[in-house]
Amino acid sequence: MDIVLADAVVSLLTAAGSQLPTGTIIERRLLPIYRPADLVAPRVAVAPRMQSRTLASRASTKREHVVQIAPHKTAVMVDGQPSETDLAAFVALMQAIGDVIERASMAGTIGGATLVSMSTEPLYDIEAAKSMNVLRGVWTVTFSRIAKA
Amino acid sequence: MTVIGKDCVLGYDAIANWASPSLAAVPNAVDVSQPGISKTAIDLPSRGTGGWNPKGAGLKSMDLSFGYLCDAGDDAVLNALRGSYINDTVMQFAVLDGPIAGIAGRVVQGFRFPGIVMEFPIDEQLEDGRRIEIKVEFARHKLAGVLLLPVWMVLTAL
Repeated sequence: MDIVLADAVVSLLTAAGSQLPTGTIIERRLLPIYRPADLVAPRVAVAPRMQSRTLASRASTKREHVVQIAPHKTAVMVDGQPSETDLAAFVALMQAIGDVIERASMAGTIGGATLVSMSTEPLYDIEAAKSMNVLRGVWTVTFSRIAKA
Repeated sequence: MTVIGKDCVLGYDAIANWASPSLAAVPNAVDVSQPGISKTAIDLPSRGTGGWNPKGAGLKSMDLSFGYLCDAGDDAVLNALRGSYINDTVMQFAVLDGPIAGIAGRVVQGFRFPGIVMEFPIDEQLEDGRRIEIKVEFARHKLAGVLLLPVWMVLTAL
């Protein structure tokens, strides 16, 4: 189910490509480790991260699935810092991804599960930006569903 | 060995099968309880009770409450429960501490009684499964002229 859910998120973001920067690559990536050279265009890794199950009835469990959506992009550096322009564009990308997921959740389930919460903290990883010229953020998205094994 | 609530079984059947029930389980039951198994106490003091207030047994009560986690689509169990609520259909319920078919190594037991669904409130929490908190009360019902009363059901060990 975790892989199915991650793939559903990839399909959703891919279908909403027009709302993301041109050339954005969206992929399921269980180990999202990239070289800076791969990140000229934004690359969005979607990875299943966690699952928990608690009893919902005598014959079913309530399951929570956590999927992380991590956009990456190299930044133009100005005086050793990512440019404000690139940072603003990256924050807009994070916003666009959040909006796509939220809108889809209002229309129904995603991959058979219901969106419960999504959060990002920080909005971008300043250490990665300073040390590797890479802008990186993580949306942590929690889905829920009730199922029987 | 302690019995965990998850491993208990709530069963139901048509009241017409009271004599030889063919119980079906209610797997979507969440928390099952019978808080109303009680009897009233009648005060029986007299001049000879030395200032004490001894009690006598009054009328016994029987009930059943449980949450029902709804599945999407058609659900035969929920249809039966809803039918009892809407049409005042008397059913029989068995609140057992194990499988309806019995289990190896120990007896399975619990109250079985004629009941009618009295409350059927629907709960749709934003982040939880759609659930109905069902309340069943002991119902007065005669079958072939015989008034049916609660019984303690015992299934022998397999």
